[in-house]
Parts: sequence; structure tokens; C-alpha cells
Amino acid sequence: MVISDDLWVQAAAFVGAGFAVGFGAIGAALGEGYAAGRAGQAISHNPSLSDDIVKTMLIGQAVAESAGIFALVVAMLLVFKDVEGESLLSAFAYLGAGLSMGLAAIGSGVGSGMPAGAACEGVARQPAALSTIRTNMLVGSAVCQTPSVFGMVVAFMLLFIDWADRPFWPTWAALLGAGISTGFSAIGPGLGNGITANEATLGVARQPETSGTLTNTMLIGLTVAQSTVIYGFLVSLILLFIPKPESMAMVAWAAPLSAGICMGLGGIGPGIGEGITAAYAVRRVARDVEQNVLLTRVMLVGQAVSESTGIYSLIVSLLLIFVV
Amino acid sequence: MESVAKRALALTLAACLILAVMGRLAWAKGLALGGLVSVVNFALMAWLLPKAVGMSRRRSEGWAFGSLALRFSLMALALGLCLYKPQSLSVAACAAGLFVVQLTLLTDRFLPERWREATWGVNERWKT
Repeated sequence: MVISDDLWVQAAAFVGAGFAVGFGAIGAALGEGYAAGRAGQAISHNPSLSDDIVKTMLIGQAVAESAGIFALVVAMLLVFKDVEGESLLSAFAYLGAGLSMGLAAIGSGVGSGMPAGAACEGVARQPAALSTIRTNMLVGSAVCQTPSVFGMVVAFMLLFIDWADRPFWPTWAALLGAGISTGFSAIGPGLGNGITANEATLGVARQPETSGTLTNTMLIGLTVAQSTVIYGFLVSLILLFIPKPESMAMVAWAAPLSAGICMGLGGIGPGIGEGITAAYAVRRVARDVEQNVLLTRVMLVGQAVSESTGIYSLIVSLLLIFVV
Repeated sequence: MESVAKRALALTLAACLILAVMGRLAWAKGLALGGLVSVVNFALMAWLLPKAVGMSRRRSEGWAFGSLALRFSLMALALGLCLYKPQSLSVAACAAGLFVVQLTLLTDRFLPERWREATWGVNERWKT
């Protein structure tokens, strides 16, 4: 039995859809479950505030679900994609799209659930600051979604750009590598941002009058922690838009695929590490707001050191793309 | 929660009317479908998830996954309908509509305090 190219492309689109919505649902469900668990704890500490705590939980969960909805949209586009007459290269583009979106949604989904859980705990401790706590939670949760937006942008490029004019060898590896690079590298920053936003929300509950300073410090920490997903996105763009000459040599296809894997995996650790650094800084700012400038400076130095392995990954990826 | 749903529906309706006046009927219908499903998803979430509080850990995990599967199926159905009939329902507008509740939640936080009090029933009590 001979399987046509159309059938392979259709199968790859279905597998890509499975990756997108499957990984996306893991992130959303874990984030929502985490928020619900901490809401339950908060209610057991202060049952009289159960109404406010449940409302806060639901608001946080609604935002945490956004990455899952991005993943669902990409999955549905893959399922209903008209593949008639498409080249075999599209199969790898669709697999890459599913991986990019699904993996990126894991970090953002789990990360967004963390400030939601912290807000529930904060409301139980400091009900008078309910509105301020919710505002900080929403800002933190919304920023946590940014890595999944990068994943979605790469998925859309893989889905909607026509790659038919490129040679099959080694472009298939570049398309798959592009999806892997942004997908994996978004996991770390999503989780790291969640860890920071969690501490900032607890800090606002502890000292509501410092909320302005805390939110600013949190935003600086979150922005720096997102650097590695930007590196992953950059590697994806290079892989997608700098065409390579046709070659079936093993090095020609292994290099772009390895570049994507290198940057993708290399972005996970620094993203989480930088988030932890920012979380400790934010926690101390909530206790001693006068030391904000010094703590922010130390946080930035710590984050820069933590990021160095992400930069090594970027350099090795660029070497694999341009030198090998 | 009702006020959030009402604001989200009002926002959807206003955007749909603008699109309809501009002659973009497929966009208006897609956005209306997406916005409606977004509000129904939020209402289902508000109804189903609080029931998980107080259950055993295993049961609450199963309940949360079941709720997520149900709500994702609903959204997938709306997107699938748009992808099946793209001439009369815009897929992009429907996808944008699915985020109406999230947009309402985020924008409400930055409204003037007087309006926010009306929506959320709370104020900055710690300041007084």
C-alpha cells in the first residue's frame, strides 16, 4: 500500500493538533488545580471570606486558561486544515506548530495559576486589600501569558506561510527545530514569571501600601526572566527565514534540528532561575520597601548570572546554524 | 460574576454592532459566537469549579479535568463551526471573541474607582 503525501500531511496535522491541545490542557489544568487547592486552604483558614476567595480563584483561573485557549485555536486550525496538494514539507511545519504552541502553553498555564493561588491566600489574610491584591494578581497572570503568545506567533507562521518553494532537505529539520526552540524555551519563563508573581501578590497582601513599588519591581523581574523565550523566538525566526541550500548530508539537517533543541532546552533553566531570583527580591521589598533600589540592583545582577547558560545555548545554536 | 458576564456581553454586542455597520457581517457573527461561548465558558467555570472545593483530592482533580474537557469541547465546537462555514462566520473573529471575558477582567481593573466599585462591590478599604 502506497501512502500519498496528502495522507502524511493530514496525519501530521492531526498529531500536531494533539500536541497543541494536549500540552495546552496540561498547563491550564495544573494552573487551575493549583489555584483551587490554595483557595481551599485559604477558606479553611478564614471560612467567613469564602465568597471573596472563590471569586478571586475564578478570576485567576479564567486568566490562567488563556494559554489553553490559544492552544485550542491552533489545534482546531490544524484539524480543519485543507491539505490537498500540499508538499510533504507541510507535515513538518504542522508538527512544529503543534509543538511550539502546546509546549509554550504549559509554562504559561502553570505560571498563571500561581499568582491566582497566592491571591486567594492573600485575601484570607488581608481582606481589606482585596481589590489591590486582585489587581496585582491580574497584572502578574497576564504577563505570564506572554511566552505562550510567542509560541502562538511561531505556530501561526508555520501554519500559514507557504514553504513549498524550499527544498525538502534540510528545510524539514529547520521547520521542526523552529517549533521546538520557541516551544521548550517558553516553559521556563512561564513558570519563572509565575513564581515571581506569586511572591509579589503575597507581598501586596502583607503590605498593601507598598503595592506600587512591588508591582514595578515584579514587572522588571518578569521582563528580564522572559529573555530566554525571546532568544528561542529569535532562533526560530532565523531557522524559518534564512533558507539553506539543498543537501541530504546528515550535517545539513542535524544542525538546524539540534539548534532548535539546544535553544529550547537551554531556555528552561534560566527562565525558572531568574523567576526565583526575582521572587526573593520581591519578597524582601515587601518587608523593607526602603531597600527597594538596592534589592532591585542585586536582583538584576543575579538574573544576569542566571541567564548566562541561556546565552551559551543561544551562541551554540547560532554556531550550529551559521558555522556548521 | 454576573456583572463580569454582563460587561463581557455588552462589549461583544458593541463590537458586533460596529462590525455590522461597517458591513463585516461574517466578522460580526464570528465575534458574537466567540463572545457568547466565552461568557458561557466563564459561567460554567463559576458553576462547576467551586463544587470541587471540599472534595477529596482525587475527586477534585477528576472534576477539574472533566470541567476543562467540557468547556474546551464547547469552545472547539464554536471554532469548528466557523472553520466549517468560513464564508458566513469568521474564524479569526470567533477566536478573538473567546477572550472577551479575559479582556473584560483585565480592563475592569483599570477603570476609575467609582465604576470598579459598581462592578466588583469592593473598594480600597485598606487606604481608609
